Amino acid sequence: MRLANVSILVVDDEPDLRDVLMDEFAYRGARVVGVANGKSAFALLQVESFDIVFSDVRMPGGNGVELIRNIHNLVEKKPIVFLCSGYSDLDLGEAQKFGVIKIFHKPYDMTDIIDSFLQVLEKRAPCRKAKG
Amino acid sequence: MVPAAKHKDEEKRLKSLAALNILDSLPEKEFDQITQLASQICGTPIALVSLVDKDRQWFKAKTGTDASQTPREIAFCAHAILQDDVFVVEDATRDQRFIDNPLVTGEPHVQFYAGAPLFSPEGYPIGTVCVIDVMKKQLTAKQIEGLKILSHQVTQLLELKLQISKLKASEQKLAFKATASENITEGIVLQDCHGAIVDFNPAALLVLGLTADQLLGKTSTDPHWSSIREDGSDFPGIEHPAMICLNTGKKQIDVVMGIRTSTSGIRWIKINSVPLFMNQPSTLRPDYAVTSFADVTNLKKLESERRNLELQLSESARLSTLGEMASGIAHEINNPLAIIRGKISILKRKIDHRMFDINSAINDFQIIETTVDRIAKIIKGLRTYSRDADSDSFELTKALTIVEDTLALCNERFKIASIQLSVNCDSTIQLECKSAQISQVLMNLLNNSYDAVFALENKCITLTVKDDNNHVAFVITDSGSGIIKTNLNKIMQPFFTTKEVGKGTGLGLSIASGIAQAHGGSLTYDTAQKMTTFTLSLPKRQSQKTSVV
Repeated sequence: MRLANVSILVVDDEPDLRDVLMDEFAYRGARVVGVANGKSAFALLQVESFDIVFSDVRMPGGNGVELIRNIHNLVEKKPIVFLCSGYSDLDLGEAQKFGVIKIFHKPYDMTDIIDSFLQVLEKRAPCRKAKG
Repeated sequence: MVPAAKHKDEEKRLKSLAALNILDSLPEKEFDQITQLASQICGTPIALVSLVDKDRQWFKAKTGTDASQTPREIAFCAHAILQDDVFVVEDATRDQRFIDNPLVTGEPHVQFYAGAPLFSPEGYPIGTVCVIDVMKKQLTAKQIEGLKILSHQVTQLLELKLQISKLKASEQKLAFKATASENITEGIVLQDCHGAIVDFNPAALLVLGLTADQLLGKTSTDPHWSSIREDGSDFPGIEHPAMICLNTGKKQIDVVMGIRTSTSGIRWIKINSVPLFMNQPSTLRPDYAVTSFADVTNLKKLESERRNLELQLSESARLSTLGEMASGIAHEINNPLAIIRGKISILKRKIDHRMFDINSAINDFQIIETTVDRIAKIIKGLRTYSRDADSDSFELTKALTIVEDTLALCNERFKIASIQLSVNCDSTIQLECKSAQISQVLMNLLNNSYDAVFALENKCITLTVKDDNNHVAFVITDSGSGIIKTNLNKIMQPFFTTKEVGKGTGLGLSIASGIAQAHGGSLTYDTAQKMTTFTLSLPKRQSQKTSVV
């Protein structure tokens, strides 16, 4: 239960992929919500707080790039943002300016993702230690 | 004095005189000698060859006088030309018509005149051979006869001179043509009605690579010739354009023939052969065939090089577009891979934890299978797109299959850009075509539409396939701004592009248009529609052999 007490918002327009991600995170104990695009994600973030936003980059109806920009401008309840991209040529530099921690490339390695989550969460709130 | 009346056909008479080009010409010995003979025969001091012009009589030749012309009204010859027989005035001083004629009352004091008319080739009396004496006289019948003969001789002389000058003129024309035929680079060969070569110009020897001895007398069916058609098949002598021309009497144009030269190469010539009928009506066999040919070996080489370049270019254009789509395609494949991996990981985990649920597992396997199919489709689309399909055969294909193959590659790209792509294609529509090429054309049109709407508010693209009786129409519309008027006639040209450097080669539409035409169809832009509309119209049937897919 490495992700116990962690809340994650999964943003991806591919239902099957969203399901897989949500299943994987939920299995490790996280509270997961999934939405299909950036607009819905941002709307939800106004009313609900999440520790992590895990978002795909390209989606119709507001893609990941817009979303991270909008999140960046949030003052309160700012989640940590991770991107997951099918593009092999997306580079971190630009995204980092808007607070993106890391970009994962599909097909991703789940262990890698979980490790990164924990690393950042640890840094942010050292007392929030979850069991591995 | 009574001047002579005008001849009844005076205008025509004057015309035929003028045509002889004799008036005011230099003296010539032949004519001078006639007057000498006339003077001798008739025993007169003066003899003339006189030509009666509009207002004068002019002397081509004279004996016994220096005068060169006199006014017509006082001319005795003007009377003489009004009759066929010799005109005789034995005593001018007693003749009412001439009694006060200045030539009688003054120099040269004419008292006797006899003139035999001479005629133009058309038969008009144009003047006389005449004899004049200063005392009255009578001529014997033989002398009159002699005078007549002499005038006849002059008539003949004049006609001959006319013929010679006409011949000289055509000689000049011929000389020019002969020089031309000697110097042009096209070969010309003259064959008789049996096909034997009877004449040729120097270029013929050069182009055929033969000596005069080798060429003269040969026929088109001579076994020495070894020639082939453009497709490499044998070109039998009896079918040579010259032989067909001789056998049918019809001219043969632009026949291409390959000749095997002694150095084991092929020389290509383009041949024209026309029939020559000498005296017969054109329903019978021609007497000769005139065959001209030009060496087009270089042209053919350039043509084939050009074809190769075209193919290379079209491949480059495809690959360049492929490059543009590459990132979209990578995404297209990575997503499904992530799904497959994820599902498998979840299934493994469930088996490990003995939480395996058959029904949800079956569902997951189904998803994996579908996702694999998805990837396979994209790869298939990629292969179709990047292949040079020019040498494919026409195959009966469903329009829907082509559309799906195309969309497999670009669907994702459109989704990402939030472009509304709606597709309408009945699954029963079929056509004979090179499906890979058609897919490439659709891809090209869709990509153009993508670029047109990418930055707009309203991003709409539609692809509709219509059954148009014996044609199938693929209609692609987009909500972009369309083609501006000044570019309308350029868009199908190679290398024309409105995109910035590095974005698009400008080859797409010209190649697409070429593919459409090679199918006997067309690619057109409809200026009347509100939405930018391109229509690819293709015939359902191809005349060449096709196979069923």
